[in-house]
Amino acid sequence: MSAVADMNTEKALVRASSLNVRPEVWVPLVLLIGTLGYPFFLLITSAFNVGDPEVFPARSYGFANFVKLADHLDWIKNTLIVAGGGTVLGITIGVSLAWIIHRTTMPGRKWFDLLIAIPYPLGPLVGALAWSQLGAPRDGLINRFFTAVTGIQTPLIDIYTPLGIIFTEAIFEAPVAVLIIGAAMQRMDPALEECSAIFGSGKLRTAWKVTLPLMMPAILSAALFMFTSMIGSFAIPTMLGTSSRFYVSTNAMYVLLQGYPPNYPLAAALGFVLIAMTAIAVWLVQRVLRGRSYAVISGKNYRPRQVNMGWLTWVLFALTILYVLLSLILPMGTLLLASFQNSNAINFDFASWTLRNYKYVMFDFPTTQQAIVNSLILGVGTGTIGVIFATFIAIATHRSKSDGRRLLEQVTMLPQAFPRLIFAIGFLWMILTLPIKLYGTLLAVLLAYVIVFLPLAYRGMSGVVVQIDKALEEAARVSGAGAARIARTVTLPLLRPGLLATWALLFMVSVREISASLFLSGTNTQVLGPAIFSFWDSGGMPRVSALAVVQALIILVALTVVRVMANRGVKV
Amino acid sequence: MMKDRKNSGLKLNRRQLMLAGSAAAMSFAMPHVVSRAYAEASAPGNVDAAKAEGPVVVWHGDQEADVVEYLKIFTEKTGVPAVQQRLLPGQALPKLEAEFRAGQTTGDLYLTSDSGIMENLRQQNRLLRYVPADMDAYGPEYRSSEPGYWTTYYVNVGPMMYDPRYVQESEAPKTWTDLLDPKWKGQIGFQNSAAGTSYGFWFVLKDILPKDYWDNLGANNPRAYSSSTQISQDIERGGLKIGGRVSIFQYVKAIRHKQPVKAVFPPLGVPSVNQATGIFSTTKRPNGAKIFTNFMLSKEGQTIWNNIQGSYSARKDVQVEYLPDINTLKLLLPLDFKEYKNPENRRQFVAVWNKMTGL
Repeated sequence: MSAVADMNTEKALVRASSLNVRPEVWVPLVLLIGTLGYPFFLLITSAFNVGDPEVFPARSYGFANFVKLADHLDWIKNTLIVAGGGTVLGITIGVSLAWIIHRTTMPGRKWFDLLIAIPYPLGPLVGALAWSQLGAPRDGLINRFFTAVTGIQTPLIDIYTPLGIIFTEAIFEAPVAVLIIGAAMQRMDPALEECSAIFGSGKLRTAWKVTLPLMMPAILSAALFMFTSMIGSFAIPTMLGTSSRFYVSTNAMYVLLQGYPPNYPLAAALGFVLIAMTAIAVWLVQRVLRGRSYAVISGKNYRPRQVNMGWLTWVLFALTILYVLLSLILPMGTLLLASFQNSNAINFDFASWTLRNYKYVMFDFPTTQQAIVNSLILGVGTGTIGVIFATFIAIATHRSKSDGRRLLEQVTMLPQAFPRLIFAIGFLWMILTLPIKLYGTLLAVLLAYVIVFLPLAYRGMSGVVVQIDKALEEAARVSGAGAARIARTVTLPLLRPGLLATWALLFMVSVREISASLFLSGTNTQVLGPAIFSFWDSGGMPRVSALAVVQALIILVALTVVRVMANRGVKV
Repeated sequence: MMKDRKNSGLKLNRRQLMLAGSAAAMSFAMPHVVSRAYAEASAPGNVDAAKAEGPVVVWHGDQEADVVEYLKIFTEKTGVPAVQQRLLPGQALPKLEAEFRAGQTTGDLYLTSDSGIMENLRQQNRLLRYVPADMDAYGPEYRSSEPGYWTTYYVNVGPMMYDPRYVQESEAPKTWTDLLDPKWKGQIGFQNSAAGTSYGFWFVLKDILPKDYWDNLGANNPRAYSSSTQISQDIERGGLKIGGRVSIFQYVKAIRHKQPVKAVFPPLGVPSVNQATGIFSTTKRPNGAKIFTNFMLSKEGQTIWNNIQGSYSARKDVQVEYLPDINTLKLLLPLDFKEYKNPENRRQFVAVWNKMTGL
């Protein structure tokens, strides 16, 4: 018995002594666990809190909150319907558009590539706001136009339905799928498609039977990203679902947290379920991909053949135009129209139009000016710190020989599963307990943004780091270059396109962020997302539309500047 | 023993004599002690000190544009800078709780539609007592029982509302019971359970209307909105036929914009709530907070605020155009604050309201 114990101890010692955790892994790991730990602890303890709902941390524990959730299975069912339906529709749009843009000879592909990317940074808040005016059953512009043309009084569409919410989610998330799947399509070895063509398959059959299956990892990766984003999506269900009695987890959670006394335990239990749903989705994707080879991306630089679809080109062209119309032109046009109005209803009497709403939001309303400046600072800060931190982690997870790399990757991706409303409350409590004065400062909001968007940054930078061939750095080393010189002359130039693209993405998602900011922004740290949300809540449609247009302009200017900067050096 | 004591007449031992003397001194001094406490609570804010303190931070749940406009005028009139943040109770209270525990409060004043919350804050010693100059202009139903902790800066009356372009006047509901008519299924809007006005509505009607009223109303699938602005907007756009309870200022704002809306004041009574203002005990800008309170509750401040907002002042000497004469309305105000702040009532309300609105 004693001998067995000794052997076990010896084995454990050997394991411990062989554990090789290097600073490049443990430093970010400790930092992340330090910042995520408290909100996570708060979520777990609150979810099991069966005592006073306002006591932190909880003192008595049990499963009562989960039992109560059984009375609200519709919230979870609706979340799955919206996230599942939105992902299916979004992926369908994403795969189709990525293929059209990158694998066909359709005219104007470069322009469409840019136009298709814009709806994502505009964000769900702008999307919901615009579509509430386009697709409202009674006075939505589309229904008014339909009635005027056909004389039929029954509305053509109703955006305040589960289908409407799925549609809005899908069209504003689809650009991410285009980006992820399009990148994979551009790096694809065309040999298998050529084989298919040689054996007599038509163009559509080749696309369906060869290209699509080869794209499966990218498609699943995009689907996972969209699904987890939609599970935590706040603005669209809140703005389109709540008033029609359609509750998903996030808008239900918002009401639970908004009321007095706030029901943290039930909201936390719901948050716990959301994390579990995300974990199951990740596990399912990994299971599907496990043990299969999708070796389409190699060190060689392929330029896949572009397919001439003949007369079908114009059908594809029309479909692409339709997407740009639904996701960009109609929403922005509607917001522009609404911003010129004197009342909540849109009228086409040009004489009554006014620029007063812009004057108000830009000059008369102090919150907006502060919110614009703060959002810009946060966008730049989140972009810069997020990219640096994510690059460091990506290099550590892909290049380091240290143990704990997988754990670092998993912890980095954890915020993607965290409901931001809950995270924000936990984060608020955490910074208040810190010995340094961080509460009420922009730095606190910046720190929260960096954590919240780290999975996005990591995903972006990870994809870039993994593509860089180590041989180039090794060649520099063999030629006598030091570490700093290698970084400056080899690694950084190779990373530059990815750095710029990820920076731009982080900037844009920071400027449009809303749900975490609702709890974290203060009197002197107002930001655009909550400012727009508050205006939507209490300010009337013309003014909120004007503010949304201003936000969209800021994002578009940033996007253009980054593109111009990138085009001077490399393509983003 | 008792008998002995009774028979002892005026004979007191030394201890009893000291106690009696202390009591006499206390009773003589008490009015002065009370009046000194009152005087301290009434000490006005100093403008120069207020300016040195920096901008007063006002937390509120009102329409942001209205508060911004009011603060601009307030600063012009008093010279004291002020900033605002719109925080509904669910946002304000977690922040406040965390801030109080950490001793890092950022807000100076709280303006809320839920005077029950104010009563709780008062009990937790989280409100500063300040009796402004015009306190006597406010009836006892419009201020904390011990004046100076919170006072009503407007009376939020909540009638039903509809737009005659979409609902004929003859078929519009006239009583609360009319809302149970199945013809309004899916066409009645209320604010959600996070709104203090919803709690006030339920609280004053729960003992007047039949017990099964809320279940029956729930059968009509009323829709929940996050603000009365949202309800008013949807009524104007024709997306909602009846505002089940809409803040009166939405009616005034609509009339000012020449929209043909109608407000319905049922004969049973109109649920109303005290919109209360109070100063946090941890305020870092006590002078500014006192000057704000003093101005807000003065006749001038009330005239300015209620004209911006379009609502009833709790003062009898302030009138606002387009508002029906308040004396013609039967207001149902929560008066039993012990019950109003009772957590059990709140829990019951949240359960009833969420069920009714489909949450």
